This record gives sequence, C-alpha cells and structure tokens, in this order.
Amino acid sequence: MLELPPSILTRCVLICLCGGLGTFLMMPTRRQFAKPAFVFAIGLGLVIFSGLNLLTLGTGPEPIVSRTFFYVFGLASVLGGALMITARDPVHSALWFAIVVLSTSGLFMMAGAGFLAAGTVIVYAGAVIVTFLFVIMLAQSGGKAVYDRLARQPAQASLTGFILVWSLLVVIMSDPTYNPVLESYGEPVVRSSRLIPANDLVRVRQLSTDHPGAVVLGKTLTPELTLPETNPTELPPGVPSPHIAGLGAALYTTHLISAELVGAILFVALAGAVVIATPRIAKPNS
Amino acid sequence: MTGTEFNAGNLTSYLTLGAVLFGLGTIGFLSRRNLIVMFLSAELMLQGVGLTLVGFGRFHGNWNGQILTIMILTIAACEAAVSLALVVQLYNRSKSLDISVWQDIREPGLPPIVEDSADAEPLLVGPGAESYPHLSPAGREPEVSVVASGQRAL
Repeated sequence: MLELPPSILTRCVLICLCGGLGTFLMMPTRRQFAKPAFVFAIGLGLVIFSGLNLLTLGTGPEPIVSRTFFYVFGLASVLGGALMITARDPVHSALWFAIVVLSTSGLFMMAGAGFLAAGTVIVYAGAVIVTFLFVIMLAQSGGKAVYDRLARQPAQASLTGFILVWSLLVVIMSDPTYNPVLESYGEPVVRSSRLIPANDLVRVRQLSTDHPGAVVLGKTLTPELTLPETNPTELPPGVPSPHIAGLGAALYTTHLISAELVGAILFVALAGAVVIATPRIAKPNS
Repeated sequence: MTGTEFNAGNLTSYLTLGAVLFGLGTIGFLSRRNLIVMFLSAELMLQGVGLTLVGFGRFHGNWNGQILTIMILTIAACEAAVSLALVVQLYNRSKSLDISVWQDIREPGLPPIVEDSADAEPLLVGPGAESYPHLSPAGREPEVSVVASGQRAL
C-alpha cells in the first residue's frame, strides 16, 4: 500500500542520517575533553544540509517571493529547533525557541492562518518571557551546571528521534494509490492523485448520494466549516474574505462543546497551578 | 499563498517540517536534563503538530485544522502553568533543575542512572567561541614607602 520511489527513499534516509549525526555532534556529549569548535560547526553544517534537503522534498508555494519566504521560515524553524535542544545555556534555548515560534507563525501566515499566526506570537511571547523569568530565578547562568554540560545518552536519543522522523517522512512521501471509497465510484483521476482534498470528495458525493461514506461527509463538511477562499462563489465580488468571522463562526457553532471544554481545562489548570505552587507551611499546632 | 491553490506538494512541505520539529522536540525531551529545556522541547513538539494541522486544514479547505491548533495553544498554556509550578516545587525541594535527582520516583527495581560529573564537558573549553580571555595583571605592584605603609597599617 505504501509505494515510494527509491530516489525519494534514499533522500529520506540521507536527511535522517545527516540530521541525527549533526544533532548528536551539537549536543553536549559525555566526554571529558573540550569539544572543539569545528565539531560543532560540522554538526551545524550537517543539520543545515539536512534541512535544505527536507525543504526540497515538497514543492514550495508558487511565486518566487513566497517560495523564498517559505524557505527562509522553514530553514529558520529547523535550525532554531536543533540549536534550541543543543544549547548549553537555558537562556539561549529560550531565544532559539522564540526563533522557532516566529518562523512557525510565518508559515501559519503563508498557509492562510493569519489569526493563528498572531495568536501564536502573542501566547508564546508571553511563554518565552516567563521562561526567561524562571531561568533567571532558578538556573545557573551560562550553562555552568553539570546537568547542562552533560546530556543524558544523546546518541540513543538522536537515533530514536530520527528513526521516528524517518518513518514519518516515509509515510508522508509515500503514494497511497488505493483508496477504497473512491475506487467504488470508478474515478479514473483518483489513481494518480496522492491525497484527495475534502472538497473534491464533496463533488464525488454529489455524483451519488446513496453511499454511506457520502452521508458521513455531508454531515462533516458543513458550509460554515468551509474556508472562504476555497468557496469564492458565496462572496460578492470585491468583498474580502471574512477570516476571523469565519473562524469564529466555525469555532462557536460546530466546535462549541470543544471550546467550552478547553475553557474548563484552562480553569482547572489555573487552579492546579495555584495549588501546586503554593508552599505548604506546617501549622504549629497540628 | 492566500487565495491561491494549496496543492499536495505544499502540503508535503508542511507535513515534513512538522515531522522534523516533532522529532527534534522528542530528542530534546529525551536527552536534556534541565527541567526548563525539557519544557521547551515539549512546546517544540506542539509547534510541529500545529504546523501539520494548519497544513491539513488549508489543504482540505476547512477551518478544522486552525480550530484544533487553537485548542493546542490553549492546552499549551495549561501545560506551561502546571509544569512551571511543578518546576518551582521541585527546585524548592532539591535546589537543582536536574531531572536525574528525581529518578527514585520511577518503578522500583530499575538500576539507578549514575552520571559522573567528571564526564561532563569542561566549564572552560579551550580556544573557541566559549572561552574566556586570560587577563594579564595590569602593571606591577606599586612601591610604597615605609611611612605610607605605616599609615596604611594604622
């Protein structure tokens, strides 16, 4: 069921080998001598090579400006992640995490999720600042502590992480040529396409409405869930697509119970944090 | 990309980036010993999942991916609150951010992980980016007269 061309499989293996080796070389490793600077540089170069190879696995967005921004954001997020988990100083880790959050927000924006990009920046800016506070309060500065200079089994951890990445990449890049739902309609186009967008499935549903899968799709793909730019006929010409209004409508109609549940979880977490963080003072009489 | 087509190749880019961010977060969570860096690694994994969900939502043309990412943001805020409260409590008890201090709350019977601090990277690495300059003493010690030294002794 999973078919993968050998060239793409080789590239996936190459990406994971280079990324894992680079991450291992950048990690504060169990050795008693000082790590030379060129070892760190070799690791960084391997991670950059792996990240560039990774970005060329898929096709970026079409205009050259968008593609440039996509490559910049993608490479910044991969590099920032690698440098975040290998930095000895927790302050540097928090700064690299800020880089990852900003570039991820850029990628959100390029996928048409502007509100989410703004929300991510706002929420995680607060998270990074709080992390700074904790580092200043608790951690020894400059990564001088022993537990910052000695990672726990970095070779095994890199191997595990990049075996996971390799399996994910193989599944993502593979070609699911057999789709039993669409096969039953005898669509000739289906055999050559990798993954069918849900709106195309709706068009298939309109062809024959008696299939049980079509009934489920009709209940799932309600009109208020459809992105406005994929359904431009409902908008009068000249009116910009209502981004936040559409998101709010979908959140507070179809996903209302989930939104309420998440709010309840937030409240419980607030109470739990207060209970956990309050120091227990022993009563003198008890 | 808003308003243009978001095809399967673009979706592949988002999925691969999300997978790699998730894997990097896994490595950081498994191998780092600082509680704060472990917390940041978990947040990195959530970022990877959010990237995947937004890509899928855009590809399928509905809001579900973005709504799930909003829920991830909320859960990440809850996780940050509870985990940082736990970090404060653990630090108050052990005066250290090392996760290996707390290995005795695992299952009984497991061999203890002994990490010798002599194995760690030295604090001052040689000539390189992290080395500190060696400052020569400025000048020589001034000669003081007997009278002045007597006054200083007073």
